[in-house]
Amino acid sequence: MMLVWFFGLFKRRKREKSRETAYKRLETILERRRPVAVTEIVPKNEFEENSEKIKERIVDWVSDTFKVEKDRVRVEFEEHNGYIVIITNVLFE
Amino acid sequence: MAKVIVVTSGKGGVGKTTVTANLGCTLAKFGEKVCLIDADIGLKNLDVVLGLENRVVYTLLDVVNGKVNAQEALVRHKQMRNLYLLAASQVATKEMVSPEDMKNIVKSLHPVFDYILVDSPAGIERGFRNAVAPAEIALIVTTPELPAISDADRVVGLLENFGFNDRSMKVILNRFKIKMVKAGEMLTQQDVESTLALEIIGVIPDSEEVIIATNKGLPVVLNGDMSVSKVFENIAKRLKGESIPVDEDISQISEKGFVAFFKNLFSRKRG
Repeated sequence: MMLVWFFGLFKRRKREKSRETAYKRLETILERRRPVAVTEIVPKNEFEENSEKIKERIVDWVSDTFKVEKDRVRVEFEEHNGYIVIITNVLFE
Repeated sequence: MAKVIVVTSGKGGVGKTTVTANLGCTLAKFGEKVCLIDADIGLKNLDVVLGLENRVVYTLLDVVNGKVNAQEALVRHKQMRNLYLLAASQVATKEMVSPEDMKNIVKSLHPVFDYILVDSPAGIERGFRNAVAPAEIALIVTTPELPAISDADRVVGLLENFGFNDRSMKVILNRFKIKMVKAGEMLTQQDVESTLALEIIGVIPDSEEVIIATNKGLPVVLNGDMSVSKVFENIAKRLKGESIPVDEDISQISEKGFVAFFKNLFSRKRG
C-alpha cells in the first residue's frame, strides 16, 4: 500500500492544455447566454391594446404549469432598449 | 449596385479597422470600386490606418447635416485610385447620427460603387446600430480568445434580430498564432467555428507587419507581409463568391522558414 502511494508521487500528471480549458469555458459561457432570435415583431399599438390579455394568458399558463393559484402569479411589462421585457413572479408556498 | 458589408465585433481592439482597411485595399487591387465608411464617430481611426488623416475635409456628420452630399465628402486613396473613404468626425458623438441617416448615405453611394465597407465601432449601442443598418452582409471579427468570442456571439444574436442569417454573417478570425495552436495553447479555427456556429471566411495571422504598416499609414496588403496579403486576397475572393478553403489561409500562416523567407523577400514592395 505504502509502495503504491510512494510511486504515485513520481507519476507524471498530464497537464491540461489551455486550449481545452478555454473551449470548455467558452461552451459554458455561450450556452448560458444564447440569445433567442426574434421571429416576429408585434407593433406597439397592437401590444398595448392586448397587454391585459397577454398578461392573463401568461398567468393561466404559469398557474397550470407550476400548479399555483392565479393570484400568486404577477406579470409586469418593462421596456428596455426598445424591447418589452416580460417579468413574471411566482410566489410558491 | 454596391454590396454593403459591415465589419463588426462587439469587443474593441480585435482589429476591425485594420481588417476594413486591408480588405478595402485588396478589393480595390482586384479592380473593384470601393468605398470605406468610418462609422466610429468620435473615435475614428480608419483615416489614420489608411494614411489619409490629413486629406479629410468633410466628414460623415457634414453629410448628415446637409453641408455636402456623400460623394463630395469622399477622400480618394493616394495609391489605390478606386478606393474612397468617408471619414467620421472626431468631435461628434454617435447619437448625432441615426440608422436612417446611414441608410440614406449608403443609398446615395450605392450606384457609384461595387463594394461599400462600413467600419463599426466597438460595443452594441447606437454606433453599432448605425453601422449595421445599411448592411446586407456582416463580417464579425474576433481573435481566438474567450472575451472576444463571447462578445462576437452576443453580436451574432443581435444581428439575427436585425434580420441577418447564417448566410449573411461570416466570421474573420484575426491574430491567429499557429505556434500556440500547435502547442495546444490557443483555440483552433474549428473551435471558433463550432462555438459560433457560423462560417469562417478568413484566418488572419498575427503579424508585426500590421503595426509597421499602420505606423507608415499604408495598409499591410499594400506594403508588407505576403502571407497576410494572401489571406486578405483569399477573403476578398470568397466575398466575390469564389470557393477557396479556409485551410489555405492556415497553410499560408504555417509556411515559414527558408522558402517563405525568400518568397517574402522577392515579392515584397518596400516603401
